[in-house]
Amino acid sequence: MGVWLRREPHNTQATRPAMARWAKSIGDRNPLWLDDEYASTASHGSIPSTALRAGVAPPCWLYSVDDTLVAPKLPGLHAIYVGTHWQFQRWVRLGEQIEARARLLQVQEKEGRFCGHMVLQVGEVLYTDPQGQPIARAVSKVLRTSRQGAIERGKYAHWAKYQYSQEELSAIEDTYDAEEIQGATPRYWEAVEVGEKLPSIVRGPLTSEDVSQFICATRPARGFKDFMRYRHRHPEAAFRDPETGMWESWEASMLRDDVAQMFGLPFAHDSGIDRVSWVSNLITNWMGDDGFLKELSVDLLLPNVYGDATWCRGQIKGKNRHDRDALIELDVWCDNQRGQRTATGWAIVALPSQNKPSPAL
Amino acid sequence: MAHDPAPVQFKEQAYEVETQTPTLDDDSLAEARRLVGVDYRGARATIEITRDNIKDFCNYIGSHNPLFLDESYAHRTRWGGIIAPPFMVGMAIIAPGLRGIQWIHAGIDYEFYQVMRPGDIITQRGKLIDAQEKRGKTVPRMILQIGEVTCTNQRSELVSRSRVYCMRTPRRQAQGGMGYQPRLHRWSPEELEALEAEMNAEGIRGSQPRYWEDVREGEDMPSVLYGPLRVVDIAFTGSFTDAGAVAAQGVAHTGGHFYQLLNRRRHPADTYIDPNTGLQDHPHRGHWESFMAREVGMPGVYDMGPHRLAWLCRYITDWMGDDAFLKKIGGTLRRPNLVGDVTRIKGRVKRKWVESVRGKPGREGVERHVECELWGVNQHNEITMPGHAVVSLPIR
Repeated sequence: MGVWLRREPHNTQATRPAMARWAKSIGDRNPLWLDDEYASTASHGSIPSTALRAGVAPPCWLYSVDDTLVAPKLPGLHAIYVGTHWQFQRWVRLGEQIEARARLLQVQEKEGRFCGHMVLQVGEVLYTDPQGQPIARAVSKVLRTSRQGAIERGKYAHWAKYQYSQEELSAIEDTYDAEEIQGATPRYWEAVEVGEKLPSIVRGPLTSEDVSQFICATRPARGFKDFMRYRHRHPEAAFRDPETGMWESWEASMLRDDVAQMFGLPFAHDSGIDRVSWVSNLITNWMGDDGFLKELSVDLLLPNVYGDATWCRGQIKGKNRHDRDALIELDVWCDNQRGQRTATGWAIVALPSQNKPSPAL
Repeated sequence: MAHDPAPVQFKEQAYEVETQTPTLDDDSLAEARRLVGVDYRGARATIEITRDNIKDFCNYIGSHNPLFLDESYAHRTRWGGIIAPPFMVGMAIIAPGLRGIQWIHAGIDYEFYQVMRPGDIITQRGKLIDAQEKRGKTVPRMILQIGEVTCTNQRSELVSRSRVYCMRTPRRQAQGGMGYQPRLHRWSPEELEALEAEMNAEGIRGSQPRYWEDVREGEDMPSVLYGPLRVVDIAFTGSFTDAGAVAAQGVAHTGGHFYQLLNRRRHPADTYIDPNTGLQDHPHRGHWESFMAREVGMPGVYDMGPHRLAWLCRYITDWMGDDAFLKKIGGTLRRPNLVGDVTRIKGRVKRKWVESVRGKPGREGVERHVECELWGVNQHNEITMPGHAVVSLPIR
């Protein structure tokens, strides 16, 4: 614990293809990260910032540098990602090099209905520029669970694949079509009222296309010989496929229902950090180009499986001023089509103020 | 399990779909040829080459070549820095028309003119050049669409020109649909250990030049092994990284969620409904899901053509060494490669010759070429991918 771990970064530079690919994998339509031309002409508030004019990355794009899955040791226990607390110091700028370090902060024993005894590993990832100046910090939570224990308790064994009606599917389409991006029009702190709701966004119904696009943009899996070498170093990272006898990695549970069921989840599922990223998309859509997401904390409560739709929602909880910043506190959460809450959290956003210049860059 | 997959219904969609399992008829060839010569939107892409997406592509194709990955190593080679694996661009699928007729990647023939480096911006364009009717054992009537793709860099230099082949086959439940018998290979622990030993013995020529004088006609090239293929290899190792997506779909930055919805509305005939959930999804998912693989008519969950073809790229670049230049390479996807299958890429030097090359005055000269026969073979000794390559080699 506390020791900096050996990590293999995925993206090391905030290039346009890397940020555009990642943004599109979460369904993000904000031209701020997708479009060179828009990014270079956007006003970004009352302070014209040369850094911002060159383009910025979506906040949770940093998952594609280091995915924040900090789960060392405990071979034999499954790793289920259950949440991130992000603290962003500044925007990631187009073209810059990013480095990340990670370590384990805490280990807690837990009891739960999923598999009885569990271990919660709390990890820390620090993202810096090459000079070591901070860009962001992520504190992640990973539950280490007993596969056998989860199967015996069968918490999700009664879950069935959801059958959508045509009306429900059309309603999801409506929500996609209605998705609004505040963009270049500043959302002023003064105009926001406590209790106000953010326009909800929907992601899903989740398909293998969505998940594989996200995984490839964020942290591609090791293939072939690299998988073999990794498995020799970490024998617990793979299992013998009952059908073919060959080795397969647990990542297959994000594609195959039968693999998810080998550790007690009902069906093939999302990766968890994609859901946190959708919540960040809810907020960046709402806050506009002049807002700045300072903190985002999301706890994942239930599995999000193939076929599930996720509505990301938010509500203004408080307003305050701190130093130079005009801050908004938000409650955020995710609901699925069954009416279950699959995630909850909160966020702090700095908004431009009519009396003050643009928030921290 | 016989069912008639219901057509989709969106709030808005590009056209109405009568059936998701249409068949080919006498008018199909004309339809398949309709867009011959037209700049094909699905092949248009601008690809910025970066160190990170080169690394992604190497991960995808199983290359550990330091010429692509290690800047300080590459600095000492004739290239003076990292270059990109040549297959990173130019593999767009060009298969317009024939709504609801499945597309199966059938192969590629590349010619390369320039290396690509980090910072290069590659413009990819493609057009359909021909379509031909084919008859087969597994599918009685198919249509082969042939496209041509050109890639140029930011200096307007031609980087590559390729012919891409796409076979259009009716889905299993269509009349005359593809109907492979299902199969799945089972491995014993001892067999798997032997495969691992084989993989561990593979090497990279790298900085040791492969001199033209030393290569003999008829010489066998060392084989490399891919597999047993896992569903994670297909779906998660890079099919949707920049290069992977360009290869698989011809376009950069496809996207999830809303972008998938847009795609379904544009291509409702390629939106297949899962009878268990009523959900709409892309038939592409047969690459990792047995239900859809069966609907397509495949014998099991099957690999992506561009992925397997790119193994040829890794094979030849590992063999030829840093001082060589890959002039031409091609492969034909003849049989499916399924989850659980292994593919050994093998090769043999077929002939060597000296060719005079045109150049600016003072730069004319000769190049020393070798032509290699390449092939991918599975655990049943079936050749799944015949191929060929022409490499320019250095002399002592």
